Amino acid sequence: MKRAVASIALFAAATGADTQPSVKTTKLEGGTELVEVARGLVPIVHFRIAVRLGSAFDPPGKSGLARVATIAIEAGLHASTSDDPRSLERLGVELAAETGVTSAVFFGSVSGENADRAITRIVEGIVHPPATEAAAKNAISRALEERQRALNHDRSLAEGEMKRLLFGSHAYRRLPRGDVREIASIAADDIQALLKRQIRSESILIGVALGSFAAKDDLAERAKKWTESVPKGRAADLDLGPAPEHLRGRKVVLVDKPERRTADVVAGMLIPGALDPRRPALLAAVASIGGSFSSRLMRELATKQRLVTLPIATLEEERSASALEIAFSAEPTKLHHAIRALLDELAAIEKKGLAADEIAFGRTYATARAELDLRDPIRALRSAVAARVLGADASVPWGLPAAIEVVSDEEVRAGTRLADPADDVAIAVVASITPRLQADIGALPGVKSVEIVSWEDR
Amino acid sequence: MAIALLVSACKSAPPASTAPQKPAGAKPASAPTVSKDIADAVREANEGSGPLWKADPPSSVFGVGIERYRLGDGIVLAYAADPRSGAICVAVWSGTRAPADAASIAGIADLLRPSPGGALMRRLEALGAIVGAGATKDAAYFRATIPSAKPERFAALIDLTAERFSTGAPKKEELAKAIAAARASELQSVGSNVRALLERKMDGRMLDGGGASDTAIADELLDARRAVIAVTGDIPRTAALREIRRAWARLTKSAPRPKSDPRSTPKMGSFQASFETDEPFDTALVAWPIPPAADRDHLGLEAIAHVLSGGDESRLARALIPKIATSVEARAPRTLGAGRFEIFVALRPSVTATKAVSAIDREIRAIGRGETSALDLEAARAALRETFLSDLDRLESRAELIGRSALAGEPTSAIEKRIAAISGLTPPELGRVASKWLSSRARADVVGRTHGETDGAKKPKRGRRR
Repeated sequence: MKRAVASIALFAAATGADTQPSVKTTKLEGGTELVEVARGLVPIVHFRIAVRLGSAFDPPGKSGLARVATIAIEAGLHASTSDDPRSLERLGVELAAETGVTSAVFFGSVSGENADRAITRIVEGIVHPPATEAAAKNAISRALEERQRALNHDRSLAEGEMKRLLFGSHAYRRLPRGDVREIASIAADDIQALLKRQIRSESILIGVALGSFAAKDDLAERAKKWTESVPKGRAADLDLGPAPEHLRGRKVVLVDKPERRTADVVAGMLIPGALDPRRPALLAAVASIGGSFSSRLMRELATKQRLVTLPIATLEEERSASALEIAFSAEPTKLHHAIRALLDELAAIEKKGLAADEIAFGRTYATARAELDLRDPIRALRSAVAARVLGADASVPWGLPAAIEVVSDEEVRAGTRLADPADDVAIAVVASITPRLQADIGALPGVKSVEIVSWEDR
Repeated sequence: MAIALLVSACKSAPPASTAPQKPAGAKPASAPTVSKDIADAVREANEGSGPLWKADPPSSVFGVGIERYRLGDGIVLAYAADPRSGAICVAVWSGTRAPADAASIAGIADLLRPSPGGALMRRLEALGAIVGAGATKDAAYFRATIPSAKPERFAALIDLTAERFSTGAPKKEELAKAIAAARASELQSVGSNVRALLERKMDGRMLDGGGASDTAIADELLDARRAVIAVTGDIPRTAALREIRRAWARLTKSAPRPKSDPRSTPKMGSFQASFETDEPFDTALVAWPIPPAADRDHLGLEAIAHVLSGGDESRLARALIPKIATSVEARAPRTLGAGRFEIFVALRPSVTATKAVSAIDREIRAIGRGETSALDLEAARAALRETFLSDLDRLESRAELIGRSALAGEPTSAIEKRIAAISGLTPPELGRVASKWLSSRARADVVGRTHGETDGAKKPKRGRRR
């Protein structure tokens, strides 16, 4: 991480860019970390509360536990108590929660005047969710419904399958939604045991983006009261180990969904983690390859060849390794042509590099995108908290625009070679799988294996 | 999809609101009183020949100054400065008050949207713009947000927005294709299908679309003189006025701006319709015609929607979930012309729609009697306030809020007044609004039935899952 910060600082210094972060990090009593992003005209507070409650902490045979625990907490926060009915609703709190590999995040917004009461109540709700069997059953039922919805969403189903292939046995492959049978075996005691272990003051991070509410008093003083209910100490941590191993070949999984009229495809390649110093160059390269509506893939595969619809490339943000994901839809009759065209295009980019005008475009677009991310209160807060969750300084995202702006053409070209489309691609397809389609995809060059699964088994 | 229509006896719906409705572009009643800064900016931006800017009286809400300017007799600029934002959002809005088909609006919105992979998109993204586009029931917009660090990009962005209404304007022959594509997409979604049927029925049109007015609506939406340009962010008002006048002035030089044609709330009696879907569960959509968003009763309708379905402990969630329905959503969308109050219910297997509709009726009658609890009201007020704050906070949603308000012809103070009115919502006031607009005599019920089933005679559905 230190390398990344140093390289960004170096780039920024070279351009004379203002690197003064608009973000401040404070350690509260008890060790909870407070991240403040100051901006905005309007008296509203956006918050993100991150706890060490990700799928990597699911014990063997209990996959989905972290997700169920997150849902139980969220449901408890939305529920009434006899002495304080509908407390968050009455305060006008918008609240949602997400679970990742290492953390769960509770996020939302509230008017400035109600922020202290709301955040205190939310932290209390995270520490003391309902502990009854009924609450656990309700959370399990919601987790199963959510899982079913995810399976109905073809793009997210394909993404999950791609990660399963790409990350192999590494923890990054674990989907927070878990296995149906294992979710059903979760009991209230499992949830409580996990929360007791993981909800600790030194392992909680509270991020707030402040509007004109901005602290008249010292925010850290007020934040102390938010966290009074949190048990002291540090949560169990996990060493996720070295980066996942490379695939050494092109692997395909075909998810059979009968009667589907279009196919959803997600292709993934292993790339260095989010804190790698080459990240700025990679972002410029990805913007030009597939991360914008004017990218090479959009022009060649969608507009000229009309093989795919809306190909979009994104970068995952994990610490030791990430996935460069390329997603698109296609007609089943054109599917193997579309996948072949994608692989050919990526191979051509890897071999010949991007043209100078493509690099200039990628640099401009990625710089602006990174800049705009910091100008939006919600995205800026998400970036700052994500940086801390990854173990980096919260101000790292603020150095990114300047760092992207100065990457050289050669660095961008090197960025395009960080992924290996010839020998390291996992491809997941959700479609109505016919023997012909299976044979066509199996015959694509370099394909080492084709696995067929039914969507109802996932 | 087989359609079976059962139209019951009709009685008149409540009368259209008598609240004054200003058409887009209407001049304020009193002479504008503006600050010296605004007057100076207008004077500076009006240098040289061409149509001139005029300023409306500004307003301010939660520290956000809301300003409005009119170029000649056409284009409107809705402006809100935010010097600390470091970014600028420009959103161009077009709307209609005619009864428009959702697919027509969606098709026209697609035409306004720069195509992915196209030359215009390339030019926008080369400026570092993040581009968005969308449509509501009677309006379409496209927008771009750029960092403000390089001011020359704002001028280039304004040129590109003007191109969408001149050299780069969508061609008429593309229209039918875009609308057909939107209709095809509509057919694939049960929710939008149900809504489209309901909308056509409530507007008194044919159920197969009745798109006779597509061309007229397209003419209206693609007419630059009716456009509202919302600009918010880190850009001085003088620069915004000057650049928009430079790029857009020539677009105001054609025929005089047509008078807008405000649509009154349609008079409608009750009706019921049912049709078959491929979904594994039945659905019910219950709707009433309601007035435009600018009407003084609309906020009350938004509050009622929240009381009915905002959160796990809302009235309809308690009445319907989990035994009767798996989900329920009430909403009162903000529209330029007359709109619809809708309640959409996904039913549990083997539950008939009648049960859900009866429960809905009961809850609305209770609200009509002024029986909204203090708790329900407090939650609804807080949610409405939070929504306004959120909309004002972010550039894109702020551009949408001020752009739509200008498009509706509201004064700049309308947003401020609406927020102030939240605290005036009381159980008797919600009762008055519910009794006036949500009468069972003016209600439409559309039921989507699982394929091959009839009410009360369910068979398990096999083999088709989506």
